Amino acid sequence: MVVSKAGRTAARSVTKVPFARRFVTWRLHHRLARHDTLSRLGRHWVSTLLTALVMGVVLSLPAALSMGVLTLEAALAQVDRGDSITVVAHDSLTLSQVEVLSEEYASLALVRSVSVVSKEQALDELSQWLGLSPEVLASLGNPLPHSISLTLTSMQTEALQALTEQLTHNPLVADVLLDMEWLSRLQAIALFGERLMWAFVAIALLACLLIIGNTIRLAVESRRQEILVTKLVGANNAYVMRPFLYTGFAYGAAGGLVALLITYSVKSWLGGPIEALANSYQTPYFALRFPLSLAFALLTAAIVLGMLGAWASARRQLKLIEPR
Amino acid sequence: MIEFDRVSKRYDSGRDALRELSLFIEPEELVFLTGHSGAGKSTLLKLIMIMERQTRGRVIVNGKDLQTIKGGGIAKHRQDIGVVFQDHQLLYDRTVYDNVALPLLISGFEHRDIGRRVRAALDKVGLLDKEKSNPEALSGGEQQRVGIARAVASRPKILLADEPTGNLDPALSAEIMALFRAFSRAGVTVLIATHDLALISRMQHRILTLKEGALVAGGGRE
Repeated sequence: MVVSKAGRTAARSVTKVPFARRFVTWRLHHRLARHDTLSRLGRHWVSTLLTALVMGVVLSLPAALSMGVLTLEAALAQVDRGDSITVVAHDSLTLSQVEVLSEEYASLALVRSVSVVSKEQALDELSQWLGLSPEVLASLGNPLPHSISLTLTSMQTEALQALTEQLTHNPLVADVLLDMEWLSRLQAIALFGERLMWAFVAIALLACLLIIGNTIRLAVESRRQEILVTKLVGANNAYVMRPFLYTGFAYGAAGGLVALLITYSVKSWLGGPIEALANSYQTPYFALRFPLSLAFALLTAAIVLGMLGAWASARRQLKLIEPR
Repeated sequence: MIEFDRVSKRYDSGRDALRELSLFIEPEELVFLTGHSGAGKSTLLKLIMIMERQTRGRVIVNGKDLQTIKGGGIAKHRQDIGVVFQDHQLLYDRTVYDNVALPLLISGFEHRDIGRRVRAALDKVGLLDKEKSNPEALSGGEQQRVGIARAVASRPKILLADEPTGNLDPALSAEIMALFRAFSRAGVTVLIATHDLALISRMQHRILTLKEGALVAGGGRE
């Protein structure tokens, strides 16, 4: 138990350290913190898994909702937006009179093209739609009027209303069919869905912050003694904080992956019925959407949340742990 | 090396732990600090570690006025001081080696350097064969020696000890004190707070005696 002569010469201060050395130290500290975090999470893998699952479930709610909203919005954008108006001619008008009227309409500014649908054509279409032979239907007498279908250049509401009014005023016109109501209802539903999604996003963010915050608070508390000792032997706040930030990162990443797993499972589970529905409407564009960019955003958000929650919680908690 | 210039410390509770205390400790000196419980020994050590701040006066360590050290500087300051505690303050979730390596990792020593220094420190305290043990498996005296190895591993210029023999029998206490003396001879300034008058009176070193926060014996430059 004798201290060597070398001890005397080697006794030196560790203060003034060049930048390159500090950088190496900084990297070493990060590696230590990563290693420490991973081994701790691994040792308590059950609670790690449970926290990741809770985060994942919470995050999967807005993710699944946004999948629904995206799907609906994409469908709405591609659906025949009803940019046509059907002008039903008065019963008394002959086909040639209707044709004259249609030529008049063709010169209107908003109208791109016109096509006349005779009452016979209309009956044909109806019988096809009903699955009856046209002869049977014709034998009942044809109650359908001639009509003109106008394809429009714009769907601006005001212009559309003005045009409808103008068309209705004509005594030769029995009715103007502008089937906009279903569209506005669908848009209202889409808006509702979108707001619901944002509400769930906000709730999920808050829930994740609280989950991570509480988990980290307990982690800090359980390492109180270690934190005190490391501070006493010269650790700064950043050193003490680092493992908890990595823990937040790990929880966030794991939670995000669980959420993605859940979301993609839901997607494939719902995919079948949705496809059947789309096929019945013969609308191939109606498919569930959860693009990669959204998946990436979800994962990033989960990691940021994890680190943010950990940072806020650890900072608050570490202030209470000072050597005294 | 350590200088107190009319230092007073009053705690928030209103208790005066130190009153107008002045002292000077030379580099490489070994000094004992004694007095009854509550005489201010712990407060004096805490001021040196910046665990507490004085109410009045100046504390100068290593030529630096501690009042000017703030924020991240406090951690750096602590890296330059080795501390030994009565209750060891070891971490029981890691090996003896990892305990001793902790301050070296924090100070940013190189990996190779750390291994060498940890083994050198453990060798000095006679525990080289215990580096893979958990401190819990060691006796009280051995745990205290691990604490000492941790305090000296980075070869600080100053070594503080707060009742390092408080829980040890006389034979082990003498052994620990011999260790501190060896460090002092190797160029470390050592300040030991202790109750054990019988032990230190035999050791021929300066003894600072505190009473109610004031120095009653041993102050001033030698």
